[in-house]
Amino acid sequence: MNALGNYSLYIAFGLSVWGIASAYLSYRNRDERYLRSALHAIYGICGLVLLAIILLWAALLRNDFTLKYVWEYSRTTQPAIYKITALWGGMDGSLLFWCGLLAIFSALAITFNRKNNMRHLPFTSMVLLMTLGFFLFLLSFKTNPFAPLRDSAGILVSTYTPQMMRAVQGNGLNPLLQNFYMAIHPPMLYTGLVGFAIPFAFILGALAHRERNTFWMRSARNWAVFAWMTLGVGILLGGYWAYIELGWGGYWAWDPVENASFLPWVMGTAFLHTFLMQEKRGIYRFWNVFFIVMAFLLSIYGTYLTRSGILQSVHAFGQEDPSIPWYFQLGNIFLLFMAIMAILSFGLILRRRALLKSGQELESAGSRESMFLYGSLLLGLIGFVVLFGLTSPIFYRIVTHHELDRGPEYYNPRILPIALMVLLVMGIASVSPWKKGGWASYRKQLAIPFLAGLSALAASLFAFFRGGQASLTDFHSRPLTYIYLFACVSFSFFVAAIILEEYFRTARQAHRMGRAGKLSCLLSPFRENPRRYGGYIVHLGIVCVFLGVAFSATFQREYQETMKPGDAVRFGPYVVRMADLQHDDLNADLQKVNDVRIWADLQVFRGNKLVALLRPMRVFYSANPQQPTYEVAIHSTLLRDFYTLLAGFDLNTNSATIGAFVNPMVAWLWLGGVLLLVGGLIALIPMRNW
Amino acid sequence: MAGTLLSLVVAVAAFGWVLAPLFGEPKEISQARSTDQIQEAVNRSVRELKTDLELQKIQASDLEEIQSFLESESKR
Repeated sequence: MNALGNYSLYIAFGLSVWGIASAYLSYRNRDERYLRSALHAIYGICGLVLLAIILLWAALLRNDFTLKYVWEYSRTTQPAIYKITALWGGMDGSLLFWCGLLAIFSALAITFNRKNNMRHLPFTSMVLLMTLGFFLFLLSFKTNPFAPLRDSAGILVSTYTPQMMRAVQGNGLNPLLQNFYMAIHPPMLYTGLVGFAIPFAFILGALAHRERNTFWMRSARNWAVFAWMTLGVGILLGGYWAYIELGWGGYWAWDPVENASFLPWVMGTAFLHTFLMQEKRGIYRFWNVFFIVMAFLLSIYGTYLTRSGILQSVHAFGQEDPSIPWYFQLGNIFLLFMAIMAILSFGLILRRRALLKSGQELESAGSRESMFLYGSLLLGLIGFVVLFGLTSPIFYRIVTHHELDRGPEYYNPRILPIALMVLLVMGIASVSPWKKGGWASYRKQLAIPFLAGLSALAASLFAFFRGGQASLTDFHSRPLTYIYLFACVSFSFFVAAIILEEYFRTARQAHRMGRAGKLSCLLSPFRENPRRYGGYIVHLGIVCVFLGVAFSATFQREYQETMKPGDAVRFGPYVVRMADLQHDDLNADLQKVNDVRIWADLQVFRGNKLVALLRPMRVFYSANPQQPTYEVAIHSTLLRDFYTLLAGFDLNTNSATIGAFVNPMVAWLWLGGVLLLVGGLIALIPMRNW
Repeated sequence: MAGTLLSLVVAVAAFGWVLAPLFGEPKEISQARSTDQIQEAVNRSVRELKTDLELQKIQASDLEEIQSFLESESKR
């Protein structure tokens, strides 16, 4: 069956080549026969890539080590769930998964738009087929997950006798990826990254077919919301995985691959806001197209950075063999594709520039329209800063042959002030009036939120400086950090108050106008304007993320102590007593078990009260026993996380080194993620029938 | 061998299905715009703006102006 999987990729690639030609002919000749043929090609590719995915999963589950990919990323003793997730654990499989998602989304998008947007489909389907064709080319000729395994003597493992075969054990999935969140984080992330291809193709399609307005293209907007939401949740899930798996107490390190997923999300956020303005006022047509093109190109750029080996990152898929000729190196093929898509997109923007002129002029710098533009441009600026930070080390290395490390010291001072401005604009835009609305109209609507922000600032200043001399010394040691923190607290309360005030005003109004009862009016904002109020829930989620990041980054405290069973040690506000240090059978044959664990049983007290029993572990996976992974144990509340890990152990002396972090308000980040998902779903799914 | 033969069958079936529409009668792609979708988008925008009118975020004259602009744009 592996041959069928292998050939299905070649056949799908052939279909994509024909599909591109056929879509182009239908665009030139307006002949429906060619369009139908191109659409059939998309459906055919979808079926064939799904077949390949199913066959690869089957090979992983039945330990078919005649395939190189299965040998590299699976192992007989690996739990079934991680055999399934091994599909996206390596480069070849993850590209197949990427391609599968794109094929499914493309097939769904053209099915939903066949009736209503038929005249745009020739160019739209050509763009989708070009993207599919690119990934299928890689899968067929460069990163084929059905490539056979050869042993060190160059003999095909498939020619081994059954007896020889029994001795073949897989390499196994990277232990860091053997985590439940790795089962859901990559699919969410890929769904988001791939999802941007659909609105990109539809908007380019509309532009190519000289459509002046795209505001009625519900499909493009819905796909963009879907992609944006899943990418946002995927990024936060990635942060959660890093938090619980890497044992460093943090969740975001401005790692190049993290940034690469953040970039399309930022551009997608800007797009969703300019799209709303185009829908209502016919303005920002250029920005609309620009942001969706950037979201798509940057999602491909992110895929390139992760897979080309050009970057060192915990998330990267490794280096490419330097003996491969330059024109066949994966990174260069990616660059070529990105160049083609960039030329196609910006060339089209240039040719159709007359269509992209705004239908109306801005009438006031304080209007809602202007606020949306400020917010989108600030997001674009964040994107530019991150893109520069991400890309400049690559050019620096090429020119100087030296490494340039861009970490938090580059990003934080540049991103934080802009992000705070985005937060402020996000709040003000919610109450801003349309068209001529001047500053005077803000006075009434912002009074309560302004008081809320001011009170929050006063309360946080009081709480901080109550600490006396120690707080002052701390403030003087890093004044900017504290200024950002106080600004963040103040702005967050200001924005939250605006959103809540808006929500209750709308609900009250619905009741007053007789559209809803006393209690049911609480649902009416979501019924009457789900996109706006879904968006406000997302904004509340963003406020939570801001607060979580600000407090955890400013007040994180780290502790470490070596203990023996029975010892009790104070870690900040907690007292930890080590009850026991235990382990699995350390002499177990790692060929027969997936992992061996060592753990400490900790009792955590606050005051005299036992608040948690924690069990931090080190796990030695058979896939890589030299590098045991951390399984941290966390006592999480809304106010703080008490984060413990087994930093070291000595079984001869029966002692363990316990590392601990007290991380204030980290849970708010994950709460923000939940709100982002809920708000996104409300904006996506009409509630009129509820 | 069975896998290769099966692949051949799949290839013939896939290309046959993809090329089949070419043997039909020539027909021009419909250039009609989706009036339902356009009207729905205009209605949705106007409905949302009317809520803003109740909340005093837009003046009545501005709403009328935007509504007539959206109506005219939807016909272009």
